[in-house]
Amino acid sequence: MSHFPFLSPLPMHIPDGFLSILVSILFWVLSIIILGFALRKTNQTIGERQIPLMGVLAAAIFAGQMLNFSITGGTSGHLLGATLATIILGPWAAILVMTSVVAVQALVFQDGGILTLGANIFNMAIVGVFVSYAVYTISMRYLRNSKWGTVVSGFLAAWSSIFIASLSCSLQLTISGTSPANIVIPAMGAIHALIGIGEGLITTGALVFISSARKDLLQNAGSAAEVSKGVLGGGVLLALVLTVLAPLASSHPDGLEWVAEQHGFLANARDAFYQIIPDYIFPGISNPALATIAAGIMGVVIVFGVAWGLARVNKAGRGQKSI
Amino acid sequence: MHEFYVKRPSAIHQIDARVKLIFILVFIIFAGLLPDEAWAAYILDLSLILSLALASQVGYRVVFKRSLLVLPILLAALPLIFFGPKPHISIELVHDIELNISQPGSTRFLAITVKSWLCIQAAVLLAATTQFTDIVTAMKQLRVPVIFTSIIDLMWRYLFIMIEEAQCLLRARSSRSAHDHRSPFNLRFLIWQARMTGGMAGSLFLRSLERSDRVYAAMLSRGYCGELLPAERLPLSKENWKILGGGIWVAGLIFLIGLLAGG
Amino acid sequence: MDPMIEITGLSYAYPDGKQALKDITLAVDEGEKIAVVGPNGAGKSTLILHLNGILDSRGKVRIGGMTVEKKNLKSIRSAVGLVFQNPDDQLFSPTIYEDVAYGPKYQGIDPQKVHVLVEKALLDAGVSNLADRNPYHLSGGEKKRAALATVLSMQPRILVFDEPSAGLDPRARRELIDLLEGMQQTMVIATHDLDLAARLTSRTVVMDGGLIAADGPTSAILNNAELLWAHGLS
Repeated sequence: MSHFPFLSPLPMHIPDGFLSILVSILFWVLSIIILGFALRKTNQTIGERQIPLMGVLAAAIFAGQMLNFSITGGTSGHLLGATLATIILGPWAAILVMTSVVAVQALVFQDGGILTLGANIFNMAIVGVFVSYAVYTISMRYLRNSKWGTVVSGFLAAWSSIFIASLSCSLQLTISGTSPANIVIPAMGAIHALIGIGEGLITTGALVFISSARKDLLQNAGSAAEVSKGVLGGGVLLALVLTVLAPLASSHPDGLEWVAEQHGFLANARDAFYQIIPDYIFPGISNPALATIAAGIMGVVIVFGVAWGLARVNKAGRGQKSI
Repeated sequence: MHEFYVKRPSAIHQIDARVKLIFILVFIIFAGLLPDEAWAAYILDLSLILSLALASQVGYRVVFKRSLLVLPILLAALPLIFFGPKPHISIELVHDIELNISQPGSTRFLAITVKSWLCIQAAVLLAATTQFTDIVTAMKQLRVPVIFTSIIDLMWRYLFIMIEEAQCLLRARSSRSAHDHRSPFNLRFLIWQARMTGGMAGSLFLRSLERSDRVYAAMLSRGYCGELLPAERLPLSKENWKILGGGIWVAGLIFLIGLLAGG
Repeated sequence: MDPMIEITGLSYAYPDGKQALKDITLAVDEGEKIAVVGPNGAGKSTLILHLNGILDSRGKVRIGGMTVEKKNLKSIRSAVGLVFQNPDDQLFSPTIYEDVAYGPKYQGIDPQKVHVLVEKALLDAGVSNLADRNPYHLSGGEKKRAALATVLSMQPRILVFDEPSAGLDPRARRELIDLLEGMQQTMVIATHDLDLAARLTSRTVVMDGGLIAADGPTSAILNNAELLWAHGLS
């Protein structure tokens, strides 16, 4: 394979700059809380067996995202893998695995930003897994005895995970003021409703294959005995909240304007604060002129300063191997 | 298919990964906090990136090419130009057909474009000057829970083997597919393709499960007992602390200029 | 003096019912190097997995006088270095150095000593120059020797190999044989490679269908054409 940068096929990895700092940090906090929970839960149920299992499966999911099939000339269907991970590993371990995949995609392949990683983890690892689990479990409750139970449940779970994760993504973009709600929400929703079908089909294909070779692997998910009520509840809640919130936001941008206004209010407050600083520091001098001159001087100083500093480090570092 | 690391004998490559990681984060946060119209700061940020690209001997061309990844995603923000808040400018295209351009919307769009472009270049520089194993070590030092770093270590080790297996599967499929891609949309074929792809995914997953059994046996044989060992503490050297301080100072300075100029 | 490896009446059936080992009795003295040969499915790999407790032998296996059971597993696994058939399964860390350091770290040895052990193991296996590499980029022979280094760093008294020369090109195979010839540890080598058995071992055990079909000096066994043919070895 060539050196061409590897771009994740799903348009759900949000790069830096597309979410406001506030939203980015908010979702980092949210994700960290939930991940902490997932860690505690897996520590309780984890056998020693699980670490190699999670690690190697994470590699398989990452690689699996490369498998595609073309829908029309330009577009292709791809796999996110949250549903498969959830069915095979259970929800909490799946969250850890998907988080690792998304994190490495951001850090190594610049697929999604570093500050926005929190939001991306929330969308793909957390919403993706929670919704998969909820839909799969509920569906299996009715279809357990049917021959098609696993296949249908898997399809529904996979489709839902993609669609609802995309709602979460578009809401984040909207709240950040990056995209108008009445455009991005329907647009992303529609695109991912289609992509979700691809995810569903690939997921069922995989489930059929696995169940014919190793039926035992699919037994643990969906079984009545050990339903994780927390994830089930969380998944249902997320699905409901997002499916209600999204169309609401999209058709009544006024409603969301309140949120945007609050956010904008903050932005305005921030701008006002910024206004104060230059006046305070250089009272009576008009900003633009000052700024341009100052910028020019500072710029030269910075560039030279950086180069000089680096040259010094280079000299010091030469011949010394850092660990 | 491998990581983006570009090996060079530069000082930047030698800086501790923790410092680089934190600096990139600071850079991104400052860039995000800048007022939309802080053009002076944007230019300074860009020149900072340029200096780093040159100082690290990675070269700007390589960074630039990779940064173009962010372009397609700008589509998401494009509507801002037309649907942003007032004041609007009307541009008459042809007879009676007017285009409404929102000024603040367009400014916002440009700001997002520039900011995201700057941020991705910073991320590219990080990847180009730091080996991934060093990034993982940095994560371990920064107290990321050891389960994550263990999963990531294993994932990294087997990722390329898996990708090779996936490519083999793709190649085997394409050598058996005589389908003409220009032929019209065919639903049944589409579904068949999806199921085939699913089978490939399933096969990949199964093989990884079996491999994990063997890896587990190998780990047991070398004394693994379920508990993950914590990482050794490697304190940051004085040099590195100074570099971190210097970096944050420069980024902060640029941010201040952004405030002065963009208010 | 106690044999280094003592197996008495060991039987094993896999969960799916397949009887892989039937009443195996075998003793190996310290310093002895034996080959275990036999057709596929004879039970060689299954036998090996009992030597360090990965498969439960229910008290039928003793290593250096210690019964292989849960409370002794840590010492057993330090004493028995198992080199698997596929080095990719055994090299599971991001760099060779970390892989070789894995064993000593889990033995609880402190970091400076670990470093010394790692350097020595890398040297003994001839892979010192590969310490920082990701295993993915190594050749088959390099991976094999790196895998050997990962067990050498634990300073085992016994080395056990499952098909050591499988998948190696002639040069890599030659280099591996030269390497193993120079080692002093007690060795159990499960292999199809009769020439390797001839060069490295003084005693050969023939397995077939979960049973030991023959056990004698390597030269005698390998020259017995009928025996070899009868058990799918030629």
